[in-house]
Amino acid sequence: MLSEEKLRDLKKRLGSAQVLSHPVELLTYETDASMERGRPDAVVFPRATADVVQIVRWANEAGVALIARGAGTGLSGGAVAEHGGVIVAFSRMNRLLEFDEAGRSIVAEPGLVNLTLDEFARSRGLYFPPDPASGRSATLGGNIAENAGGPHCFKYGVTTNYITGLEVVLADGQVVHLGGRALDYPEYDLVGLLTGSEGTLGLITAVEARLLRNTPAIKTMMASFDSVEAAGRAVSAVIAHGLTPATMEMMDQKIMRIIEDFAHAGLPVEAGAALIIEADGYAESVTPQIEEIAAILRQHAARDLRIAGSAEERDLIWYGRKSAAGAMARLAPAYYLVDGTTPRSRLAETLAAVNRLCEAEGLRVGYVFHAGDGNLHPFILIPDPTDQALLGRVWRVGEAFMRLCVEQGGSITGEHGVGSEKRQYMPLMYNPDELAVMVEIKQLFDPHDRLNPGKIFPGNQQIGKSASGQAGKAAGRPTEGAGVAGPAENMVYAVRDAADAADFIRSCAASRQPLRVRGGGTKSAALPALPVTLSTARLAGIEACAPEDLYVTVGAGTPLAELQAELARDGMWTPLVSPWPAATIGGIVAANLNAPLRMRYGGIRDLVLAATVVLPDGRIIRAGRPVVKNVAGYDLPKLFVGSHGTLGLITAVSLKLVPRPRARRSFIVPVETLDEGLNWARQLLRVCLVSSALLLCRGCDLAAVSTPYALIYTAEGMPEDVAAELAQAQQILRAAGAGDSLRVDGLAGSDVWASWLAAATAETVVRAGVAPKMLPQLATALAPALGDASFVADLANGQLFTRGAAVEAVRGPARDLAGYAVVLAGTAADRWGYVPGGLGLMRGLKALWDADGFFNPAAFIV
Amino acid sequence: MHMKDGVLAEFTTPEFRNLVAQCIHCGLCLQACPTYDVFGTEMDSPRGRIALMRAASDGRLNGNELHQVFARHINLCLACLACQTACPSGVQYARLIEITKIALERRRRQGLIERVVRWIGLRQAMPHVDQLKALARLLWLYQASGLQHLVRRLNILPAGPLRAAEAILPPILPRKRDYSRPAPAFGKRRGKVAFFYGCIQEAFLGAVNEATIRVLQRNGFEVHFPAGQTCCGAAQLHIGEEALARDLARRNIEAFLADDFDAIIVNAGGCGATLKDEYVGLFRDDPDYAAQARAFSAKVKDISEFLAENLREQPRGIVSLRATYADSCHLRHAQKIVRQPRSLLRLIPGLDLVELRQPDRCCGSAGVYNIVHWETADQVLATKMADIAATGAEVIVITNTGCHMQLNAGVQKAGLNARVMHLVELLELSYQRGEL
Repeated sequence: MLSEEKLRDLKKRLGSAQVLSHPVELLTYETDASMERGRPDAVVFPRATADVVQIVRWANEAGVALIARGAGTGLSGGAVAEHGGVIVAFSRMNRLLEFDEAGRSIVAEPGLVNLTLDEFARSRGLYFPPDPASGRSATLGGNIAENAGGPHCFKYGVTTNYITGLEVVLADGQVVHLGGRALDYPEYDLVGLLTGSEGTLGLITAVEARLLRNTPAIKTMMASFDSVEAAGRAVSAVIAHGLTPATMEMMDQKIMRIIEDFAHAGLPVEAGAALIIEADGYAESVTPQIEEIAAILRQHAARDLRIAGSAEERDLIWYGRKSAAGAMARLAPAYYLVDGTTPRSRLAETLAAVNRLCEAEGLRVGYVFHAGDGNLHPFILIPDPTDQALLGRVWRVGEAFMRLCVEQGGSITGEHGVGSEKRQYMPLMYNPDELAVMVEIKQLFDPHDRLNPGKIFPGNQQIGKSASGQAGKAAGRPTEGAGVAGPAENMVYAVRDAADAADFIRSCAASRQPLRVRGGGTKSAALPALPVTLSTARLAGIEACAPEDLYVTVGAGTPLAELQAELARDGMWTPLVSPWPAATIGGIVAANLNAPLRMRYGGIRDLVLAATVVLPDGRIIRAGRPVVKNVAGYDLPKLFVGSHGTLGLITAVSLKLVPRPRARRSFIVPVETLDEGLNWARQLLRVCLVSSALLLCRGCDLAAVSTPYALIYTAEGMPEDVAAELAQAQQILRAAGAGDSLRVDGLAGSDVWASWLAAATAETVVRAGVAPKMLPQLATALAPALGDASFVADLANGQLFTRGAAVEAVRGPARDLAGYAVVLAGTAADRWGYVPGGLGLMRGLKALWDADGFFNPAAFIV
Repeated sequence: MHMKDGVLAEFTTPEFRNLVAQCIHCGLCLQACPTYDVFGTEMDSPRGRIALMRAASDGRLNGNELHQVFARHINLCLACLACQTACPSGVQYARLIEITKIALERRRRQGLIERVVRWIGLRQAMPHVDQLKALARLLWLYQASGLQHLVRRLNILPAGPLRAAEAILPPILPRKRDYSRPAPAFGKRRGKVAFFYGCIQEAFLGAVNEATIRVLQRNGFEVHFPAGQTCCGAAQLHIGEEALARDLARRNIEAFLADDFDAIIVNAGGCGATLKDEYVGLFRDDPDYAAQARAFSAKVKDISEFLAENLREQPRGIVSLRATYADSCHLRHAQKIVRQPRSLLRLIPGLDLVELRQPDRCCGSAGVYNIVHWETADQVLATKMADIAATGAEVIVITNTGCHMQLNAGVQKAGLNARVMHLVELLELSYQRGEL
């Protein structure tokens, strides 16, 4: 209980209008949208970051726990003050601070409601893709804390894919700015770590996020099938044909009957399952897309195909699906909405197994699920929420379902989070080392367990020794092997597998022998040489290729070119491009150098689903799972992307696959002056929907262009989309007075970028990053310094690459625009020239597992 | 669970418990709620109020808590029912808030002033339209004499309910209408309807009733004015005066069932919702009378609903104005009438109809809410006026008495160059211009 005195102190600091403490009023903060309960001692409503700092300082002095809360729509108890403490409610920090139409980004307070953002953004032609079912009330901060998903994740990914920066108040009251509006800052991806951390690592006070262009057209259809299995086969066939619908939602017969009784939505209740499929893109493309999908479905025994011809018909199709929760609520006063992910191809068997379990327990269940991404939601009815025996049976089925998901390589939670609901199931999914690593991170960020205590992690005894000790203790483990002879000097050791690597790394640590990690040697060659080098050359080859589930797991030492060649056989690829043919997957992930096509497919951080990593202390962890939707625990794979091999050795990576685009076309526009090029590029940015590059180059070796500059625009995907987009782009250029452009089929802007980088010889190559809307300003500011030096400006991603210019000349102007400039190749006194807001945390992380700094030293800022 | 003293019987009935249990606290109602918008606190949201009701039902609140903090948050609810539309689980919030308010009201000790004001307002004025009209004449004098101008200019009314009530007083126009005989249909007679003219609407906004009658006549309906009719009882019911409301309901049911009408027409969304949905509930313990209440309610039609189905004459006169339509909460959320007023407005030549960003957001009128809870109502109104101002509308179209008066006051406060008109007034204007 909070003493009167402490409460008075809090009210004095914040103002009593911002603190709620009446016991009756506190009753309304006992729960969120889950079945978890706990009464807070007070609720405080900050209005600004400074208030949050005050609250944290007060909590530290008073020894009180803080629980962040957005709209309280979470389904796992994340915002519940289980053991008392003070809820920090962000409902009054709900402003959209900046809307950047040109750069497609926003800055907002965490309490901004999805719906408010959505309405505002859409009225300006943009939108924020995550669309959790609670979006009408949910807040951006809550989305980030839970890494929220929604039905469109199959095509558009989850919240973390759209968050570029966070302002965070840490547990000690310190305010840090992580990431920002530029992409790929030279720092550990702490933004990625915080996203999905359920309020246990810090209090988010401001958000920087990316938006996408509204899709001009959507076409919706519904089809019924004899069984869930048959519908599942049809979904697989759609994917195998290289189509990427915006959403694929499935309902089984049980839920359809429950819905139909109440909503009368015209659902095919006689069918075993129904699919709702939506295609989006340009108007010219959605009709052929949906027709092709319809043909595939018919080949796979679909019946009663209904294609919506109008907005009303579309609404009618969705009406049934959206009535599911209401229909369930009418049948019983409560239901347990379970959430788990399996690899998509295992959906039907999982569902059959859950059906058997429910039958055996005498429970009524129905399913709605996101068939595209394998995220399954059984609704289990609870006719009497006070019947403990009944609840016991419900939880048993829930647990069995989670076990199934884990056995199949999926996750115990795809989008609802762990909170207090599922923490006891974390050991199903993670081994003691993996859990311990998460706990160590928690302890680093929040040593006094002040922030949302008790969430995510099971009781200490299950976590293992490290949980009760100080962070970093685990790093002491290698010394147990002291006395073992260290590796010989000047050796290059190619590890066989993760276990071998772990042994080798441990023995190096035991003999205090610094160690260099080497992949393809494309980047590590520039680092100071060390006597001992670990090579990933033998960690090569595909471990598991699941085109149907849209992922591949590959050894870190596998060259990218080799992987792409393999994937091409299945009509797939992983949308990565590297300038260096020898580059390995591990190296690419560690270095995080993104090609222009990230504007279309997301960056490396968005493509890495899982990674096996040997930590510098020799522990082997599997971070993430090869499914798009997994929010169980911290999103560890993000930590290793762009960490330049300083946090551990990546031995294997699971990457997201996408169907190879059916069409890829570019045009090249000759440009005389920089201003002209930037002006045209700025106008073209408004069009980008299926584009994979928008570059302004100087000194690129492009045949047929004799002007000093050239604009390159690439679009890829469905042929109709590509044609429609290029036509729009050309129209803009004509209106702007550009001369004739040159159409090149098959050319990709990313390849132009790659060969330009590869052509660098002894010159210094610099990568500068700023907020995309600032890039024209950066290019203009750099013009005098660059002189005749060659550059490639990647306008959509806010990146500018220079060859032959001094890094200092680029760095100054980039920093002035809240950006950075790093040296990619060549020598420099300071390759990074940037002090990340989270540098202290980065050093802390590094020290957790490599206190002595022997692992890949000098490879990064830390 | 430990039960505190003072748990109220109304909160432990199976009906109430089931109604509360329907809420799965998903929170999808939050953004629909005007008071959550103002305060940002759970206990002033629908989910929070239901959580409080659940706590009361579970006996977790003592008598003191019930009648103070619990009652405060319950009474802050505008009962706009936007949450009922937003709810995916079909929670019957209208019923919940009604039971709760009645239970609290039954046991509340009222101060002397409040008792006097209530006695005059709810028992003497509203049920007796002649007395309301007498009051209206006095207030007309207040306006016509320039006294109102002076009062407002000198700013002498202290902030409070009196000032709030003065602020919503619409400009009163003297009017004469004989209700002793029906108004004939124009052209070929298509049927006979009864008109529920209401209390405040009739006394203070007579022009709206005139327009309603005219529009019905133009479309071929003979309009009757059953003599025994009275106030619908919504205001009484919504502040918990159930017995009085039942009495008024009985008088109306008897007056309107005395003859066989094609429909009972009402032009105020709030009254219509009560006549349609709440009369049956008032007689749930009186099965014989409940059947009559059902027969009555089945005939009640909002004017926009009725015209959308029975429009014969196209409005032809050009009305070149930019207009926006502010949904009446009870028309939209209780009666679910959304499309009809808009489609009627679209028939008016020249009218440029612009949608509000939040057309379904309450204006803060809510019966006597804008007088009792004037501070909160002012904040709700300010949000509404900002939304209206952004459309640049010259006419704010409404379909309810309370909204009419509240938005009139809002226009004054915000200094907008716009006027508030009932849908039928705009239709009638177009008809008149079409005749020229």
